[in-house]
Amino acid sequence: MFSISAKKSLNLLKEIIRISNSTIRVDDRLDAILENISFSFSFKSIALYILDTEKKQIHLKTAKGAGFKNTVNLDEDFIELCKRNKENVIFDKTSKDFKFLISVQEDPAIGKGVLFPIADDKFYYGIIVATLNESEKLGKQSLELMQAITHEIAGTMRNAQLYSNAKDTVNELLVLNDVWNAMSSTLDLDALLDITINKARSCLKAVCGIIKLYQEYGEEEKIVYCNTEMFEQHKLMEICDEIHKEIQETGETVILEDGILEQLNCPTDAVMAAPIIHQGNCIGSVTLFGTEDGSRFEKREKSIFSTIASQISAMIHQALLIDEAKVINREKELMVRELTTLFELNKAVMTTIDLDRLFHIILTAVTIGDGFGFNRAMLFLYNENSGLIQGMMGVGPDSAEDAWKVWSEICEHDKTLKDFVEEKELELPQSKLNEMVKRLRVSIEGTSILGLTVKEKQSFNIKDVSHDPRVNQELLSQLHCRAFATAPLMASGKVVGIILVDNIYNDRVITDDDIRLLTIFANQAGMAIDNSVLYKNLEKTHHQLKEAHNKLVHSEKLAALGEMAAGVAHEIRNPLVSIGGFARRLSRKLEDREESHYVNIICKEVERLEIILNDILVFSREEPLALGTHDINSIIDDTLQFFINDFNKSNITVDKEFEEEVELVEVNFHQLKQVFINLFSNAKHAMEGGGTLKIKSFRTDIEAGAFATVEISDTGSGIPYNIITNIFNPFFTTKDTGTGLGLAITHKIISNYGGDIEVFNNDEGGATFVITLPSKKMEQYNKEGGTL
Amino acid sequence: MKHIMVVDDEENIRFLYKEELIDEGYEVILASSGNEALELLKTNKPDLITLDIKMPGMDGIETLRRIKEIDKNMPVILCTAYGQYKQDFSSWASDAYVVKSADLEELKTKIKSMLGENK
Repeated sequence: MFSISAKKSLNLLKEIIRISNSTIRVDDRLDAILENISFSFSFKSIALYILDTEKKQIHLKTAKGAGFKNTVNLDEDFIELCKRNKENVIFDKTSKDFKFLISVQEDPAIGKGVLFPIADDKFYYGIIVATLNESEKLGKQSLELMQAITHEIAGTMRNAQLYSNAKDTVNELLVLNDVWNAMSSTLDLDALLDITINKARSCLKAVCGIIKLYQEYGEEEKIVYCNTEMFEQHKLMEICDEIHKEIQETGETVILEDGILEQLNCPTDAVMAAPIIHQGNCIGSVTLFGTEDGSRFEKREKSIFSTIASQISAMIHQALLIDEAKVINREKELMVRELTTLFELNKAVMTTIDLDRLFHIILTAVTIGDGFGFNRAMLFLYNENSGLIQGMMGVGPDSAEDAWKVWSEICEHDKTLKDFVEEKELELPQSKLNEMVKRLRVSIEGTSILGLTVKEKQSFNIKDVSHDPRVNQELLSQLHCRAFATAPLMASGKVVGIILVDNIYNDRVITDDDIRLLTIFANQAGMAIDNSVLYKNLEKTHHQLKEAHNKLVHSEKLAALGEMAAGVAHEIRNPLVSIGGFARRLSRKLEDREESHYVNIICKEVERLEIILNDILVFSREEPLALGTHDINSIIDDTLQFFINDFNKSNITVDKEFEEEVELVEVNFHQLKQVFINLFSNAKHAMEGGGTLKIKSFRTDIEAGAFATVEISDTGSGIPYNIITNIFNPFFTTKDTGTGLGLAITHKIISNYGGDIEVFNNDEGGATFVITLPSKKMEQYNKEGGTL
Repeated sequence: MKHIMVVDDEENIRFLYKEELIDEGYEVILASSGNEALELLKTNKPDLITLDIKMPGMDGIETLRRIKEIDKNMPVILCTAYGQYKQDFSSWASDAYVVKSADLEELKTKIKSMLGENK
C-alpha cells in the first residue's frame, strides 16, 4: 500500500499550485508538475496526454519513464470511460486497453496502470497515465491527492488556453491593423494589392498568396501574387481559377477540403480562399497556399482571412473610385487641352479672309507642333458643278532631311501658331509638295478616298494604303505615304473641300483622337473658307454694283443733259428759222451783189447749227416702242380688269369665248391694251341701260397666213349708217365728251401691226368690231420680215 | 389764187412764212394763236393751214381737233420745232408733219402736193 504523508501531500500541493501560477511557459509548467508528481509518488512511469483540437485523439505531451504511445484515439473504451465519468480508471496489464497506451516490453515489472482525467466542470483537457508495479496499490488518500492535482493541472491548462486565445486575438488585431496601415500607405491599386497579399501571407504564415481580379472588375484581368517560385512551379493560377469558380457561387471564405485539393492536383493540403466582392458581384478571389509549418489552416485563420478579403474588397472599391476620378480628370484635362488647341486654331483661321493666306494658316495649324503636328497637310477644294476635287495647297517638308531641319528650327525658335499668324507677310509655301498638290485633280466619281470623303461627308483614316482597295493608285504614286487620313471641310452641311494629312517622316500612327479633332477643326476651317469665298463673291458683286451704279449715274446725267439740250434746241430752233429764213431771202434778193457772200455765210452757219440741233434731238429722242410676243387673250383679260366695276354698275355682262389654243401676237402690250380700252369704252357708252358684251377670239387661216381674230359685239343701238363710214376718221365723235381720236388711234395701231379693224351692225341689234392681227405662229410671215 | 393760213405764235416766223409763201404765189392769212385762227376761219375758208404745235394758250393739237370739227376735210400741216410729236397719236390726225427749218423747201413741197399742184 502506497501512501504519502499529510505533510508531504501538503508540500506537493503547495509546490504544484506555485508552479501552475508561475509565469513560465505552460509546457514547462506541465513538465515541472509531472516531475513533482513522479517524485512524490512511487509510479513506475507517468505521462501527460492532451486532447487535440478536434477532440478525436490525445497526444503525448510530456512523460517520465518510457513506453508511452505518442497518439491514442479517444474512442478507446477506457479512455472514453475516463473522459465520460471524469474519474480515475485503474486497469490491468492484461487488459486489452493497456497495450494501446504503453508498450510493456520496456519494463516487465509494470503490472497495472491508472488514468487520471484532467478536467474541470466544463471541459476535458486530457489525461495523466501512471503505471504501478503489480504489487502496488493506490490508497484513497493518494487518489484524492491526484484528483486535486489534476484539477490544478486543468486550471493551468484552462488559463493557458485563455491566455493563448487572448494573445491570438491581439495578434489578429495586429494583423488587421497591419493590413489597414498598408492600405492607407498608397492609393495605387497595384501597389495596394501587392502589399496586402504580402501582409496576409506573412500574418497567416502561408507560403504563397494570390489575388486575382477577373474582368468583371473593369479592365483586364489583374493577378498579384507573392512567392513567384511556388506560383510558377505548380501552376497555381489554374488552381486559383478553379477555386474561384467554387467560391463565386457561395461568396464565402473556405478552407478547401482534401478531396477537392487532390482533384485540383494541389501541391499543398493547406489552401484557403476568399471572394472579393464589389458592388454585390464576385469580381475576384484571394487564395493562400500552404503554411510555413506544414499545418492546416484553422477556423481562426479563416476568420482573419475573411476580414482581410473584405478589406481588399473595400480597397478595390475605393481604388476603382479613385481610378475613375483620375480617368475623368485626365479626360477633362485632355478635353480642355483639345478645346484650347481648337480655340487657338479657330482663332488663327478667323484672322484672315484672304483665301491663300487662309489655306496656309489652316495647313500650318494642322502641321505645327502646338496644333495637330502632322508631318504633311494638303488642302483640296471641291467644285460641285464640275464634280472635281482640285488640289489648292500643300504644307510640309519635301524630304526627311528637310523635315528634321524644319523641326529643329521650330524647336530653336519656339515658334507657335500664334506667332505664325501674327506675321504680317506670310511666305506662301514654295515646296515641291505644294507644286505637286496644285497639279492634283480628282473626280469624285471612281475610286478614291478623296471622292469618298466628299460623297460620304466623313473622315477616313487609311492605316495601310497597300491593303485598301479604295485608295486611288494614281494619287498614291504622288503621295508615297504608307498611311494617311482625310477630313471633309464642311460649310452649311456641304463639303467645300478636304484636308489630307500624313506622317510620312516620323511614321506616327494617326489615332482616332487625331481624326476626331481634325474633323472638328475641318468643320471650322470649312466655314472659314466658305466665308472667305462668300466675301470674295460679295466683294465682286459689290464692285459690279458700283460699276452699274456709275453707269446709271452716267446715263442719267446724259438723259438729263439730253432733255435740257432738247429744250434748248427747241427754243433755239424758232430764232434760227427766222434768221436762216430771212438770210436765204436776202441772199436771193442780193443775187450777185458783193454782199450776198456775207448772207450766204449766215445761211451756211444756220444750216450747220440746224444740223447740230437735229443731232442733239435725235440723241435725246425717246426709245422706240418695245415690242413683245403676247397672248392676245391675256391682253383682253388684263384690259377687262379695268372695266369690271364699270360693267357691273352699268349692268353689262361679259360673255367670253376664247379659243383654247393661245394666239400669240407681236405687239406693244400697252398699245394693244389701248385698243381694247377704246373698244370696251365705246361698247359701254353704247349700252347705257345694260346689255351683253360678247368677246370671241379665234384663229383664222387665210391665204396670206394665220391671223388672230377678236370679235367684240355689244347689244347697244348699233351705229347709224350715215356715220359708220367715218367712224375711224380722226376727231370724229358722237359723244359730247372725248376727242374723237379713240377709234382713229385704234385703227392706226392695228394697221401699224399689219392687221385690220372692221365694224358692222348686227342683225339683232348692236355693233361688232372685228380685229385681225397676224399670228406670231406664222413662220412665213416672220420670214418676210413683218413690217410691224 | 390759193389761200394759206399760217398759225404761229412767233411774229418773225409768221413774217418769214408770209413773205416766202407770197413769193410762191399764195395769198396768206396770219394768225398768232389757235383762238385767232378759229375766229378767222368763221369768215375765211383757206385752202390749207400750217399749224405750229407749241403755242401758249390753245396748243396746235387742240387747234387741229377744233379745225377738223369745223371742216374735217381741211388740209392741215403741223409744223414743229421738235421731233417728239411724230410719235404722238393725236398728231396723226394732221395730214402732214414738218419739222421747222430755215430751209422752207420741204414745207413748200408739202403744200404744193396737198393742194394738188404737183407736176
